[in-house]
Amino acid sequence: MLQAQQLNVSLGRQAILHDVSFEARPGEVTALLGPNGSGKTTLLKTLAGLLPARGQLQWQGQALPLQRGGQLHAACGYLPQDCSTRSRLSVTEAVLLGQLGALGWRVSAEQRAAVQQQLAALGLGALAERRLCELSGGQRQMVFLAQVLLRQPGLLLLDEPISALDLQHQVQVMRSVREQTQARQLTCVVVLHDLNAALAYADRVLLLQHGRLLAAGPARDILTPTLLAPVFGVAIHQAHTASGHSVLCPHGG
Amino acid sequence: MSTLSLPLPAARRLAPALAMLLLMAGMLLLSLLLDVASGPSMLPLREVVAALSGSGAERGSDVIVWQIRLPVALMALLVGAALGLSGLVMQTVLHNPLASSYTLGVSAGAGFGAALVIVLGSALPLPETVAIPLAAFLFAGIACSAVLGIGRAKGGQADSYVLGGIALLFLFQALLSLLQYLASPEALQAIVFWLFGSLYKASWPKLGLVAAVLALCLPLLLRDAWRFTALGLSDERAQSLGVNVTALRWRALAIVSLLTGAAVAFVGTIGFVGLIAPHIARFLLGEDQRLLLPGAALCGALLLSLSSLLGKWLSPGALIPIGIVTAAVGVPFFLLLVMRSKPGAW
Repeated sequence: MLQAQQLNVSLGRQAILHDVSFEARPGEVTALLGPNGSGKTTLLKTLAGLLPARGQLQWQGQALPLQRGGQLHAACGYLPQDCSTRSRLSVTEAVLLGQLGALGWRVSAEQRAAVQQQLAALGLGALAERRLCELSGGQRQMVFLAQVLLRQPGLLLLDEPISALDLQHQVQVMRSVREQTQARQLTCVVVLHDLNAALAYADRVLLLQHGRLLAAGPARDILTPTLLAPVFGVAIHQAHTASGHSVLCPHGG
Repeated sequence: MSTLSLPLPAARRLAPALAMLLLMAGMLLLSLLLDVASGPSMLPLREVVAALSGSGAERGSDVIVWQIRLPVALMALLVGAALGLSGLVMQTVLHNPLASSYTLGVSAGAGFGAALVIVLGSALPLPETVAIPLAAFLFAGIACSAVLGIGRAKGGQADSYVLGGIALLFLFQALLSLLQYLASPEALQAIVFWLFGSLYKASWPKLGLVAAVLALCLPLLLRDAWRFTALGLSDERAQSLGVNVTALRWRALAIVSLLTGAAVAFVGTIGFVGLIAPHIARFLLGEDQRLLLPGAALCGALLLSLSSLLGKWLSPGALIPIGIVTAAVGVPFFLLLVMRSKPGAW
């Protein structure tokens, strides 16, 4: 379990996060929602250990260092938002880097097999020999997700993993994330902009506004027009499909 | 989908890449032999081999090979390797294909240090043969530390290191111009000759020192090969893979200052090798730094060795400074690289 208590983050003189406290549980997908500039990416980087912060962070009951930043916590798999790169590495080589800490001069057969399995699990087998710089943004995002999953992290932190993807890949990625989270009992925190994706795939939701945690709880309790409308500044309508699923859409949309 | 049916490109590419490294090493050996054989008196290759193996060469050839030509030819190899390596490391950690110790002021810093000693001359307690390399070493370190300091002060982003390096280049060039303006005619001549870069300052003790620096730096760099490969993706991506990017960048640039100091201290400033060698290596070997690091060293060594050879062939008997040859060959080659590169590759 991940427990954050009174996290405060400043970049330069500007305070970005104020007293953020929450819990994220193993086997659950926790969606981090909020408007642009609300501090979602900053919070995710802080949880990963990349930004210095004040407060307390505990993973599996052990305190994680927060003061220095710049070094990923060992238990973390972190997928950054920006997937641009000019690298000419092949997809296989790039995914192999997910095992960076264990790689020696020779790459073992087991390490290569693990890459193959991860690529196959995300349906990327056909891209194995393509160069990263030749892929679309969405394809690259999928490759980097495979790279992160190959680290076999206990704590999975994903920053807008589906923003650049088409609908088919959005579903594929979020299903994979959910399946992996449940199968490996990962603690997953994922930044999303798509409210309906959060509704469909998240167990719990953290709602951020102006660097403060406005609400936290089960997805169906938080993803309501009453809570969301003032945060996003638009009227939101909740509809129910014939199959019983909820759908959120802006009024008039 | 069957996972077993997928190809293994990472494994498949290793064998041809290792073959390419071996081929480059073979070419380097040939270039070394030709370099030793070439000079005012051309020696047959078998005479060179006989002298090198100590199996019955004429005494005259023996002296020419061991005392005169071999130190110069080996210095070309070692300095080229040091420049190729330092260029690759700078381009990798700063994410800039134009980065090298020559373009970011580290060589200029070393050159300024040497020129300072030449101008101060007899006022120093050390002989010039010791003081010049020492000052070059020292100022290469100062320049690299300044690049690091500026970059760190601006938040550790790659661009800030590059901009800091360019500012330093102009600063050291201005200081160098000032020294040349103030220098006596004799000192001015010595500075100009030193700055051209010349392999003829080579000697066995100097070779030993450059070799020792290389022997220290290459394993240290190879230890970080996977981290450099990850850094090639982007700073943030490398961080997400567990690389402490700031610490890696500091470590890498400290090694660059050592390599550049060793190279510039004994042969003067030599441009373009550190810029071009990494690009050739990357073109031939890809971006896996396990192969790229030795590849850039071999390419740098080969480039400087061939430049030395070319200088001898263009003007037999005259000592054309190697820096002039590398610039003459390097500029068109570099332009060719730019013209052939795909949009966005820079």
